Amino acid sequence: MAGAAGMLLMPKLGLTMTEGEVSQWLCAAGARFAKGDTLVVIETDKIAHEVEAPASGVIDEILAPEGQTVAVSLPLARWTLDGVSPSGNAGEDGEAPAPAAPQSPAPAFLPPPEPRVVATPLARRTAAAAGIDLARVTGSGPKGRIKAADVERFASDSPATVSPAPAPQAPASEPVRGVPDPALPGQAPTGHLAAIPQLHAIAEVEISKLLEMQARMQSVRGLEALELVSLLVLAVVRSIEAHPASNRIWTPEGAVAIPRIDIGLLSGAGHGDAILRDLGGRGLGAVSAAIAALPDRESWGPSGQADPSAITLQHALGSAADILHMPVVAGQAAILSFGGEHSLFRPDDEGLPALRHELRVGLSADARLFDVALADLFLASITRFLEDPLVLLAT
Amino acid sequence: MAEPRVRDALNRALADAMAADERVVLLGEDIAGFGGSFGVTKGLLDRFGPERVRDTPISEAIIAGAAVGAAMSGLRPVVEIMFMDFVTLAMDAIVNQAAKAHFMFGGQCSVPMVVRLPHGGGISAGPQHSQCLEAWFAHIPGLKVVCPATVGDSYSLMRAAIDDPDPVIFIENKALYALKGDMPDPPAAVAIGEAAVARGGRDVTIVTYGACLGHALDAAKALASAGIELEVIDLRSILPWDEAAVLRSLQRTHRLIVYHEAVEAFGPGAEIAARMADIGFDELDAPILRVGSPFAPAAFSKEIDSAFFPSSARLIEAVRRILA
Amino acid sequence: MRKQKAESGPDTAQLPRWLDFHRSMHIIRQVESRLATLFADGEIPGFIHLSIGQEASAVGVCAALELADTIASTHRGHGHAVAKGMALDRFFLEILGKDEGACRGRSGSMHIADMGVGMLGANGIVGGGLPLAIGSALAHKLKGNGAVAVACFGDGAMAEGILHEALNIASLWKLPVLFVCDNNGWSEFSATKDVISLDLPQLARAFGIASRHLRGDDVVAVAEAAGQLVDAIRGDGAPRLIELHTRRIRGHFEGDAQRYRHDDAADREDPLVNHESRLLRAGVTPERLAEIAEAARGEVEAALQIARAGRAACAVGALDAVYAQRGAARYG
Ligand SMILES: Cc1ncc(C[n+]2csc(CCOP(=O)(O)OP(=O)(O)O)c2C)c(N)n1
Ligand SMILES: [Mg+2]
Repeated sequence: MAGAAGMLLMPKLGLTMTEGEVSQWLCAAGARFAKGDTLVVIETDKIAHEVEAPASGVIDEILAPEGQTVAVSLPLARWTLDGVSPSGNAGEDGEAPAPAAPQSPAPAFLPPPEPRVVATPLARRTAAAAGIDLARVTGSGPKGRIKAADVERFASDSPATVSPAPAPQAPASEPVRGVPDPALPGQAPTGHLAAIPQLHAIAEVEISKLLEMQARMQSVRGLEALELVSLLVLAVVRSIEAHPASNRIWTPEGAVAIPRIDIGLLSGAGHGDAILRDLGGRGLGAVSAAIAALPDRESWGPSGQADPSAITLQHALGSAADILHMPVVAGQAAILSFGGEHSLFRPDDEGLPALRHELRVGLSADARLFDVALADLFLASITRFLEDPLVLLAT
Repeated sequence: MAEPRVRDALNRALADAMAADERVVLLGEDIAGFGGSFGVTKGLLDRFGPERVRDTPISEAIIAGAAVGAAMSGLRPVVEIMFMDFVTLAMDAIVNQAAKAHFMFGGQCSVPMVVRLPHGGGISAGPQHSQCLEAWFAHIPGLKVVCPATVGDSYSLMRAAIDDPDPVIFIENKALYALKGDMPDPPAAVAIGEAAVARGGRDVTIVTYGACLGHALDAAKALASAGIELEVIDLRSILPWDEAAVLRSLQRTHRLIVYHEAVEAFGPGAEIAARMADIGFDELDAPILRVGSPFAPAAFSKEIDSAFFPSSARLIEAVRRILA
Repeated sequence: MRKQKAESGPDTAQLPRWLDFHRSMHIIRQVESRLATLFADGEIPGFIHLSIGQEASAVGVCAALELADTIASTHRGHGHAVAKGMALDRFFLEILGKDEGACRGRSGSMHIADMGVGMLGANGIVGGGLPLAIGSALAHKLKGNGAVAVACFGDGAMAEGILHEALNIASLWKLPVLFVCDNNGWSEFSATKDVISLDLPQLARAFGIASRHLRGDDVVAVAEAAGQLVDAIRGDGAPRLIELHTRRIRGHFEGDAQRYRHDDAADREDPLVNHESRLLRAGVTPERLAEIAEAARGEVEAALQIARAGRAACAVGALDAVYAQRGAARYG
């Protein structure tokens, strides 16, 4: 199997890392290595990290000798990996030796990048849907730009090479994967903000049905003043019930489950917070009444009450504001931040532009309590309840 | 009755609005006795009297400013500024007072006024009597900006503008005043913010307004014989503009040209192109093009004036480029 | 009673009105003084222009007005708002940027307005209120409601072309406008005499507008002159002008160190002191005056406390307020 020559680059081992020192080479120039072998030890002021081989291969030349400090993404060695496509650092199965470094402008001595395929947005979309590799399509537009018609012609000329693309995921309701902050691996719990490892995730929620439902309910006696925020709180309560692991806080003894469902409300204007107590099992009427019974925002207590809630909610409904990223502090598990509603066009099932009403929800969580999977599930649950309010009310 | 012209439609709309609502008053230089520099207000003095059809001094700032105060105190003033170029002298009233009042005063009042502004060149009127300055106003939150291109729309949009609770910049194209066309009976209701598909076609979307509509339709006719079908959208309203209609068309044609007489750089087309590149990105099968006036003042000389005008020939050239 | 008459010979029938002036000027003085400290304490952001020293002008002019009359003010407009009848809590809620403020916290000091009492707004643009008053007067005239519109401007605005356009059209169209010039000698940081070459009495005459020019530190004189002018306007519908020579006791805005200020309209007195001596001469006891001033202070303080407890203005919903038509144009 023909190998591919490439570069072993200085990995980025933490958010704040800009450079690392080559502490020790465990594989000499010219030597062969197997997948998983430790090749080199990198030290930063925080940690020592062993760089493993992503695949078998051979070190052709060591470019950064021991003791040398090298900036992130610059080469440490030239290597040839067995059976790997020429570009990149990654091994056969795509697992990288370190989190992929952002490719800053390529230094001149790196192999030149592949020529960019020039194609229109529509051509790209058409090709992706039909599973066509654009590199094989000849463009008839200016300077060889590939147009949609070129892709269609290619498809009808060579039907055998086309495979259907995997079903596209609904973009709006798919939570973006959470990104735990690798710079802060589980330290001793303290009250200090920086000491809490944070995890952030975002989802887009389509709320047309929710808005319709709200408008309809406002015509019901007793619910005239129903605010959107009541529905948001209800969706969060139902989601906590569905994922009880979300309702825990971190103490010096570790994670502790909270026996009842309290939701903190953070006032947008920074006046502090208020807590809605014991919402488990309660319906919309009760939630709405609890919110209506809150005192004016300005008299809300300062944040950090004696008996804080695990989950806190804040919103910017009715404003242009996007979600605010609030770091969680000690005693909190997560903050859900809802942005203002906005309208935009997205393709409908037939690919036709349809006006949608969306809002964005951000989850900031204590990464010791929420892993990426829980964050995804929790956000997906909130999204589902808000997008289908009948389910929310029926649950 | 002879086929009405744009000027007649505007006149009739003003008259009908004044007959229907006594709060409607007209202010402007030489609009009463003389009937307006372009004859739009002819006959209204006789019909409605000098209290409601008021000749003003040559004082653009006070005309527009008084209209704001009058609107805040319960009238529905319609102001004529003789040439759009002169609106520079009335900007404080429009931008700092009218556009802000509803927001700034917490919704205590609105400013239901209309400012009529004749724009456009091509008549050797020179650098200070030819400009298309609509982008200035479309940049101001709180204003609405419309620019009809047909007889019917001139009537309907004028009625809509006078009925509107917000300040409306009503742009009339000087070259269109004499244009003849259909006047539906009864007149159609046109909402501000609604575009019209002036001609359907599958190949390229042309978004345009004002005098360029006619040139776009000419280009469409010429290209049709070559088998190229333009879809021509008459925007009619520049703020708010009909994003949905443009996107729907783009979704069919996948190619967009924005075509207007205003200077191309930083013109209304820039916003439309940017917005479509955002929300319509995946529909595009070619870069979005703009065709507008070059970055220069209008000139007196017939040669320069017509060379600068974004003619249908320039639009056709852009169509060829976008289809390449 | 007999003693009063013997000493200064005032018209005792005027006394309740004079006491009312005393009270109103104290309210405005107290409002402005409290705003000065709130500003210094950082409770009010932005900039505020106080009318301390010019109270007699606002109170005297507004004493001639009815609720249906309208007034378009300047950046130094607190006195006009209060004297025209704006409720103090509504006023403070706005100046403190609260959601329940008259303008929902969007105008603050410099654009404060209360349409319910005919206060068409302070104005951030020098001369900006003039055309608004002209338009309002046109509306009054066409409706035939007998109301008057007041066009306030400072001496600095004499240099703005809009004043000349406004005087011309008001005279030409015989609009029921009272032009009020608060001439405090200052155009921001320049003495007005250094930047203006015109003479206001001559200017008014040039446009055929009858005018009065008097000291603005005597509230009784101001009220009398304004009253006569407003009556005349209501009588024949034609505009009038009143120029009041006042003293800007504080800086242009709060925080102004006034290093440029060497000379001043030094002969202008504090209108409050002026008026108090008149009342004392008329036999009102010092205790009674102090009592009224104290009550004014209490009223202001109570309103301020209400305002402080208000809800902060909120960006939530603000985008929907750009147009009177709901959902007219909302980008993004
Ligand atoms: C059109 C305009 N130009 C300049 C300013 C800045 N400015 C604010 S107040 C002021 C001085 C106005 O003087 P005057 O009209 O006499 O009012 P005063 O401050 O003395 O009450 C100036 C120049 C402004 N707000 N608007
Ligand atoms: Mg001054």
